[in-house]
Amino acid sequence: MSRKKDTASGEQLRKSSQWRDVWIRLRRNKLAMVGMVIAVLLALMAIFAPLIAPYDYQVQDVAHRLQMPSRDHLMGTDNMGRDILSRLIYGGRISLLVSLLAVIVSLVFGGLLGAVSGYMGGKVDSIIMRLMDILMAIPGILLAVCISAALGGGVWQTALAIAVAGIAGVCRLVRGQTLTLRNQEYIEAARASGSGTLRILLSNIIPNCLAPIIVNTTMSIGGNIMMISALSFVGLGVQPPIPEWGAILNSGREYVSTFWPLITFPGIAIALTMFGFNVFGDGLRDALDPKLKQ
Amino acid sequence: MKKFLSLLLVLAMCLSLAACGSGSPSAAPTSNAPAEASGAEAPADNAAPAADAPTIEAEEQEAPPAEEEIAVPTEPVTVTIGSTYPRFVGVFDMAQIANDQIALPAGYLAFDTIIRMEVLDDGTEDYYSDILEDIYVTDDQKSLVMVLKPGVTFSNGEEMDGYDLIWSLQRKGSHPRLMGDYGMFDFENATVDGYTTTIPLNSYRGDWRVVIEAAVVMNKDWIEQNGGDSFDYTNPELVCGSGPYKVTEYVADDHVTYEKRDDWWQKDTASAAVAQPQTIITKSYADSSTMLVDYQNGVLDAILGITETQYTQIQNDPALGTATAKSSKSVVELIMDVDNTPELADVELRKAIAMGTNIDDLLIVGYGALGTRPVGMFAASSQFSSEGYTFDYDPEAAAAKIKELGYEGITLPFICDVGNSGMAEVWQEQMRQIGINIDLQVYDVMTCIQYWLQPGATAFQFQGSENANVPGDPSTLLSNMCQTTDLACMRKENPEWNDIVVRARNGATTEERREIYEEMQQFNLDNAYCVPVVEWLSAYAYGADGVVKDMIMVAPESCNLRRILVG
Amino acid sequence: MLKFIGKRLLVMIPVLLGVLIIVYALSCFMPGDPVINKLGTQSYTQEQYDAMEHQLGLDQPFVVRLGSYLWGVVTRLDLGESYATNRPVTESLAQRIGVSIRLGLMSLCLAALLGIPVGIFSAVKQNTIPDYTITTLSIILASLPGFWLAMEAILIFAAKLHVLPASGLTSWKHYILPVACASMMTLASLVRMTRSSMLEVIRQDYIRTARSKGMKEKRVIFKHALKNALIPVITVLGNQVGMVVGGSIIIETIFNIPGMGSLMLSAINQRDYPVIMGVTLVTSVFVCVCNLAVDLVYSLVDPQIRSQFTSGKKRARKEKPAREEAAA
Repeated sequence: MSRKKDTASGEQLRKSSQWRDVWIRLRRNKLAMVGMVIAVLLALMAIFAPLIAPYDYQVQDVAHRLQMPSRDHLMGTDNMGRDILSRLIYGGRISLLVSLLAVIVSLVFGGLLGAVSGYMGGKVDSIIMRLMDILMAIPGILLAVCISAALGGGVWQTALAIAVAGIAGVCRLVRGQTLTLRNQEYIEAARASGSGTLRILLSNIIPNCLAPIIVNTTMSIGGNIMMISALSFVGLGVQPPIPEWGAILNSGREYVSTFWPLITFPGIAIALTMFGFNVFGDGLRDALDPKLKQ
Repeated sequence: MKKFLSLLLVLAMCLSLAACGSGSPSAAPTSNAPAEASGAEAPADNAAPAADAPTIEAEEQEAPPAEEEIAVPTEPVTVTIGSTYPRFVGVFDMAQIANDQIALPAGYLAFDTIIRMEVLDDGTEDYYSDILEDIYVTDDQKSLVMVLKPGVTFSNGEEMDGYDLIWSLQRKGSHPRLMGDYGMFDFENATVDGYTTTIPLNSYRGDWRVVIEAAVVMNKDWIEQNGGDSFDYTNPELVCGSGPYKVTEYVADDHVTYEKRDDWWQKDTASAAVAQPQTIITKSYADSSTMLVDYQNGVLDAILGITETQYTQIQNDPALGTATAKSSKSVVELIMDVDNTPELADVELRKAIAMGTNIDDLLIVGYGALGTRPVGMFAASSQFSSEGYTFDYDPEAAAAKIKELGYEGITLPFICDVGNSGMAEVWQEQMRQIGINIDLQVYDVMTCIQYWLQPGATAFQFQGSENANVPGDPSTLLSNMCQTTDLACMRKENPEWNDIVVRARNGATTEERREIYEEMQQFNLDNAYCVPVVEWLSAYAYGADGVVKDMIMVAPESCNLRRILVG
Repeated sequence: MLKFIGKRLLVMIPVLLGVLIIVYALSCFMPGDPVINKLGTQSYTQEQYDAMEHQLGLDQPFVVRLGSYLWGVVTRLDLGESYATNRPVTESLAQRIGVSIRLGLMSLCLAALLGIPVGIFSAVKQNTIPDYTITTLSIILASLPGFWLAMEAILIFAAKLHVLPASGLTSWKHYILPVACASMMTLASLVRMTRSSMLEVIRQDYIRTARSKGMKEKRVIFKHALKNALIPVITVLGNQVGMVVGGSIIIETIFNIPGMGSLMLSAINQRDYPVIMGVTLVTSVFVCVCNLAVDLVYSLVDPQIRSQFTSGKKRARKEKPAREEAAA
């Protein structure tokens, strides 16, 4: 979190050195670095999926279905004879994309609502917060399931369902930050110099909420991937032949005791992603909040 | 500080006490079936299966079967049966679940059906009735006659009469889903004369048995005494049927416990003798792998509706008992929406799609060991089956044809239910290979139906030719692939086709109908309305723990749980 | 105190009404026509359709339908009838709610009774091998998808080792696997939360003072640090209620437990909207009540919070835990 600052240029200078501090602190945290490496590798894998994947994710070879891992198919083949590794690589793309989309949507809506709520206070605040209370009262997965059932399956629908479930969390987070920022001197200075509410929100308040938002986003990406796979489990979520991880895992349920690769590898993929983003997020939080570090 | 800690502790303890202490009054008394069974020393060999199940022919009547000695286990045996069928443990309103045959098996223990399919002595299957001496349509095809056996009583001691039969049929027929089919009966003018009940027919249909198959007889007076229209069909104490078992416990969506009735009316017959377990518990499962684990661990003595992988697994492992697969007598067809999808109006495109469909791959992925290659539109096990009505697989020719017709790269919608999603995904890829994109959306059946009702929502649909347990009358297919159906995706407007359908349904003799069905299949071969994909089997397993020695049923879905033999 | 509870209960009412409205509106967006569901797929006439539509009250405008639904819920606790069984939704909920609440509370208790001590231990032993092990383990636990864990647990403990039953809830043994699986996530986040909260408190001045006075370490930890460290932990626990209850949809399905989660899943698969709405509403009530209980525990711990609640400035104080929860 940036401390109060008088001039814009000074603030920027302070900011850049602050981020350098964060980076230095982050680098000292080995676990967080492991997490970051995992996250970066996953992102690269998703971006360059067509180059990395040994096979096309949708080409089937029913004659060679349910093959154990071999040199040809490092993770074996699924029940339609498709290469599991290739599907996992492409699947990472979908899982990460949906998760990221959801995070962005909930950030935009939750962030704006939270900032407005915290900054304006009064009636606006209590109306928005009551709305958020309502969203918070429905467990996230149930809300996502209901929305998903209403919207139908597909990448965008799934992302939206998960995003709505995440809005309340972001909103409260940003609102809390805004509340602490709102009465600080530089905001008052901006207000005194005639800046409009929207301008203050966009250029002063929201940038200063960045640190907790970044932590929250990192954590949410992992959590969302879990939620997407849970949606696939209950028969909602993306549509075939899109190889989303949860969908692959779900297709392996029938083979849980007879063909382990189909359930083990996607499970590991999800767990690894969750682990990566969790420890990275943890590390980021520690790095951004120096009073925790000795 | 101490105050606070102790407060927390007390809170936690209270919560956990509340959690554990309240016990679970609703939970099933898990059977120690293996232990109980080991005490029973009755040799299994003596327990002859299903002595004489009399056949009911349309025009002739058979004498009741001879008595036979059956070794009864010395100690009461409890059999627990698991199933993944939705609503396996259902509501005891046999009319309300009219079309939901999978909910019936459990009900068959406590209720009798007017007629149902049964495995006969010689291994063949035919219609059979426990409660009727005879059932037939008069020669002039004007009325249905049912003759009750004397002495059929409900569990409250009342004797079953013709009014119960009429009331039960009428109630089943009043279900909106069945109104069309039951319109053939003129219930208003039905008459009862002693044991003989006569219902006039508004129209005659060759497949009339299909219509009343599995109709359950309920106790009219009892229901009227206990609330009539507001009768609580979920209350186990109010279940009053004429079957060999009575319901003693019912936990919604979890399990039902049936106890053998000492006062069952059919004491001396073969059927009575094979209904051996003292207690039968039917348990429903949401996840088939959990069910298999329970079966392996002896919690369940038999499981119904197992998956293909489980079937193979049990077959390959003698310790897991016996897995039996029965034909569903149903062929899954890939039906094309000829009238609402503009592209599919072109018969050449339809033929190309049929040519590009590799049935063998669909079969392996969709059903594996539980599927066989179809010979035509109707199951090989059906009496109406004839060979040579499938399409040949030729992807190159199909791709060339599609290119030539200018359809390469078109996208067609396909809304498919979860049960067929595996096949749909394989088929989607096959279509991609010949140049057609399929926009596949998979939903649960109820959602799918909503889409299927809208014209043009889906261009294709997988549909079984029949619900299980019918002797090959493709009635599901025919009632949907015609003008009068509401499922837009299956509706066919072609008058020539509709004429064939009507004739097939109303045809008088089996011979006559077989000829019409051949005509129908030839028409399909020329017009590619649907592609026969797989004749599927359904499987059940029993005996991993040695309690259940044999189970005789037509198919798991139609299972007659009365014929469980324990040793 | 009573005034505070009363006030919180009053706040719950608009929230629950809001939940009802949202869920009802969502159910109207869901694909499908309840009339056709009811009528089935065979032929029916337009009159039959209209009659059924009227019978179900679906020929009224949305607001009227919503109003009468709300009125039914508020005045008669009437959640409508299940499309699948034609029985009142409240009836099937009543049959199942006990199992779910029992399972949920046991999972939460297990997580709390195990997670908080382990978290404290980990904090006290900061930067030692046990601490690293616990931290890493808890992160790994938090990373495993619930249903994957449940399936593997059944495979290992029920199918391979034959030590625990796979389904049902008939004896204490039956509770082990579902409760363990349902509490895993909560356990992991409680351990992490307790640890970081403890560390934060330990570094504060009054603890340093206590230490410098030569007080025994144990006494410092349990007498001074724990009380303050637990406040954010309780918040996390409150927020986890929703996670555990929501997660039951998966746990109950896999372990074949006839609770609200499995009811929800079967309702989704049958598009049984009244049941979906009922389960969501009841779950929300449960979550709200649990959050109220958490707030009560709070106010017992810290009178300052109580005074803030009653004076209407509750948000100011609650934000901090909320942030930590979001991060956790």
